[in-house]
Amino acid sequence: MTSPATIEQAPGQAGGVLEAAGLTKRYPFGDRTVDALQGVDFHVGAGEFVALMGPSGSGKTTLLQTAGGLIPATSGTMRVDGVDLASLSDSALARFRRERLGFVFQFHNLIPTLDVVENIGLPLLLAGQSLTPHRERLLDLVEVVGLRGRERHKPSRLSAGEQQRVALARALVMRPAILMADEPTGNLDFLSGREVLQLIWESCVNFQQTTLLVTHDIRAARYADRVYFLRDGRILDELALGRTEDHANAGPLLARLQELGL
Amino acid sequence: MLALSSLAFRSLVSNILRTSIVVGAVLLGVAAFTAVQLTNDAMGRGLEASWRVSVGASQLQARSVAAVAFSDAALTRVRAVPEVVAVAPIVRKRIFFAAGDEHGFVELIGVDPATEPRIRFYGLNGGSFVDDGDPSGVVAVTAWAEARGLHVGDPLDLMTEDGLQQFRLRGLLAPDAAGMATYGQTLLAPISTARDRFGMANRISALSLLVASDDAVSQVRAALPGVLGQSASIRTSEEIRTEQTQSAGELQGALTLFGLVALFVALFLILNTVEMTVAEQLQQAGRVRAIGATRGQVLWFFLVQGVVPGAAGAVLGALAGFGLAHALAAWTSVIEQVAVAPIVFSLPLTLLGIGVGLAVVTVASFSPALRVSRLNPIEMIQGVEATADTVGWRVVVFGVGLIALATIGLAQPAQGGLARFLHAALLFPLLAGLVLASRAVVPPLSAALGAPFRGLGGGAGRLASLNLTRHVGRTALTVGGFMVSLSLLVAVTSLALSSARAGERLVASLIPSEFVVVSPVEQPALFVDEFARLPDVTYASPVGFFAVQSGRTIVQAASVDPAVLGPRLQSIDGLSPDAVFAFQAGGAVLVPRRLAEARGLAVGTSLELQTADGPRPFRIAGIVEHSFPSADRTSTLLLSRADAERFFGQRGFRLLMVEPRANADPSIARAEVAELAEQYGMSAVTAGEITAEVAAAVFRLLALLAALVGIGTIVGAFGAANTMLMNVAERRREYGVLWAAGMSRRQLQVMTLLEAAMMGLLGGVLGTIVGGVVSVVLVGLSRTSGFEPQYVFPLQAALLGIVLATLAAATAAVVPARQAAMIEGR
Repeated sequence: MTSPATIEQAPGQAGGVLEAAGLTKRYPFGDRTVDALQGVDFHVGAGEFVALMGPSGSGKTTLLQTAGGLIPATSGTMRVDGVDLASLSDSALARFRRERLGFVFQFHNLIPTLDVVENIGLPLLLAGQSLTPHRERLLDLVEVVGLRGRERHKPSRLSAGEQQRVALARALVMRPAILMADEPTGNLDFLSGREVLQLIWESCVNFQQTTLLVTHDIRAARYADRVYFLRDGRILDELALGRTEDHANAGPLLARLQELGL
Repeated sequence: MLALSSLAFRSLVSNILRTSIVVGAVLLGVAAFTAVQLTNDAMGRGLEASWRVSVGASQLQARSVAAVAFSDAALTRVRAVPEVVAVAPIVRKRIFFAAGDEHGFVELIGVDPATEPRIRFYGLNGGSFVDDGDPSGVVAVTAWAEARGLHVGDPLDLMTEDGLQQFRLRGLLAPDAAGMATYGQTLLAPISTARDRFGMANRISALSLLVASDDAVSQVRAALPGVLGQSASIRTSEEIRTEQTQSAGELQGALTLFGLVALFVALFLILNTVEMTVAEQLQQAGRVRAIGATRGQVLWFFLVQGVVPGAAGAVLGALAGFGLAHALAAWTSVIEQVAVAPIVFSLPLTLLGIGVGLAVVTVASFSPALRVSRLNPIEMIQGVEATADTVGWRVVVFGVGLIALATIGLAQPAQGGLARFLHAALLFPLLAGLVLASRAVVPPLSAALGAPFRGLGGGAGRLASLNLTRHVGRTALTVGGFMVSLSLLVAVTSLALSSARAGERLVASLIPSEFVVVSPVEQPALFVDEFARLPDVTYASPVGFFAVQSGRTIVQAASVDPAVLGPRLQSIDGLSPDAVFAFQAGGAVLVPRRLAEARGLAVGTSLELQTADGPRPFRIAGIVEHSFPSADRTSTLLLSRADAERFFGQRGFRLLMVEPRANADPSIARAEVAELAEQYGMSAVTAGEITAEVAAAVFRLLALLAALVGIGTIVGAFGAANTMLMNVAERRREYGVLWAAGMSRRQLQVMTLLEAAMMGLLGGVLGTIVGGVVSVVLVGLSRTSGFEPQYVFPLQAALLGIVLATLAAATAAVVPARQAAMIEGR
């Protein structure tokens, strides 16, 4: 269990290295099976911002979920900071996710019965901690995501963009080494989406946080240092964009996508 | 219509667990209801059979009142009444018998061999019926004879006016033959023998009349008082049957009401299920509406999903009820000691069970289905109905209205069996109103009761507590299932405790002695001295019971020793020493409060009673709170033994209060009393044992009703399972988020279990509150029976009920909790 002191101490946890080797994931689908991942190898360095792109059904969400320990791989190895996720028990894995990873999904990110502050502090609650000692940190995050004055609002009173910002704040509350976002802007308008992406990028830059972003949106992928392209459960290619504050240049990305026929 | 029916069926199949729960809930409800109906039917047939055996073909029964038996002249006059075809006189006396090593007392009944078989059925296992030509031939009940090793032709000695004389066993009565004495300890003899040799001349106690036609019965009945010329209770056989039916009616009514509890709870489960189905499939139905389905088709689509599994449950439940009825009938027969015939399959009752089950599922399914069918397609697609997380004040107001109407109804007095049943049945609309109105208290009560759970499971308890108010209506209906069962359990237990406590006070007030000797039949006064002379006994005070006529009504009376009982009696206006003195002096009576209220009697006025010498006024010396229970439930009038003997010829007793000496060893004293009592076919018990037996009898009935309520609790648990399955299905994505945020499978399970447990807890607490109020009403209503229970709140039972409801709900959520933890692939 992470102590409050640990959370308050560092700007971000050390590490955040993702390594996949021969990763496969097979789902039963009626009387047949679907190979969502077919021998994926990849490496994400500490503090790196990596995007996963590909058409629907290419396996990018499955790869993110497997990398985050949300679902087990059928075969192959998934290591996070050298820890083989398959070696962790259910409770250890839950604790690992709670303390080392942060997730943002496209929909249904918030718990409707909790207000903004409680939703942000959910990982703390799940760790059996009271929110009171972390109040300052929580309000800071509320401030960061621009929701000051809405602390006691339930999700039903927030717009989709505001909900995503709360989800992002929750993903950051434990200062995780790795942030995993699955189409975080897929349900948002342009401006809201840009705000959320900017927050993710700033978090990555400011806290040296490893970030894995699943998207099919070029505008989102432009924030990444590097992009993996997936099709049919395999990594087709990768493109290094480098870290830049200019997220407007979509040229190289578009060109590679055209090359790959994506 | 067909296409949507097909969709509805597919939905039922795809939600097989939910469908199974509905089937199971209705099955249990209909099984309990059908079992009760079949048991009541068996009880009715049992009573009918015992009535038929007792009255035979006669249409009129005349019974002498007090000790004034019918004379031979009166018998002759009755036989001469026009339209009277046959008159069967009965004389009876308790006599001593000896057969080999066996001896004891037996009820000798003298019957007319010529007319008796025309009136009643006397099947024989062996030998032949009594005959005037065989004055020494007697007929015994087979079981009695077998217990004493007697066979047809065997001799046995009977105590006659001239001492022990030998008689011969002439025949053995079959079990279903008429046996007019209790316990089967009966010997039949020709009436001439009984009168000539046993001193029973002019002791005709009862006449059974066979009248030429049913049309002439009223005419003969009108003639009888003048012909008999004395106090008599004259009743038609139909009236006797009605009285017997009414005496069992309250038990049958109580069983029916409690047999409906499970089905009543199932109603809320189905309502909840259809509501949940609506929430789940609203958008699908909206799309179907948008492409051309009619409102009727949408109504049908949702109705089918409630009615089809409900109908299956009703049919299976009616069949299961047949099996359950065997157990229920056996239990009822044992604990209530009523005649219950064997359970037989009854198509009408089976169809009634199915019909009631179908009615319940249709009513429960119709309301949500109709409401949704009135929405326009866009409202449906937008899921307007699915966001039902508000209290729903219209429903609350409707519930409050139901409560008000039911309360007004319950406040009205109810006389008569059916009226009392319908009165009690108002509890159901009252409870329905409470369930609907409980939506208003679910949010605050969830917050209050959920507080202790919040710290559990690392946030799981907090989330579980908050989840209770996400669908207030759903939670309220689930909680309602437990509330109904628990409230009735609390109410019945309260009634039982209150009654047991009243019984305790009654015994303490009426039995001043340590021991009581109880006899199933009247015993001669000469036995009293034998008890009084026992070395360790201070006194033996007899109590006799008899009927007296007052005006045109028959009043039950008890003869007591004023010196022994007087000081113990609780008077409603303080039994003054003068009153005791007046009672002791004679010519006075003590009147039980209920009789005084019924007849408008007051201290100082007089009550006219029909004595052997004609009507005589008795001064009312006092009005007492408690008296001995009587069959007519007004309690017995109390007379001194001296007056009972002098004016009514009553010397015998049925109860004997025996007090040991102060320095006597209680166990030795008891052994002495018990030994002597046994010699005369009586039994000796302590006052404490009587109290315990009263309480045990009350609690045996409680156990029976609690078992029926228990079925309702199981259905309530089914409801919790159903709700939690739906909740889990709806929250799959949310669980995924929690999983991603670091919640373990165990925490997901704990959260689901705690949410269900809190529903059980809420139901238990609300049920206890409601049950407490309902029990005050029930205890008040029960005071009409002449029994005066004072309200006792069953704290232990309530706590136990709350714990059981909580555990039942948590147990019911085991499967949903497992589903909640199976999050891979979301």
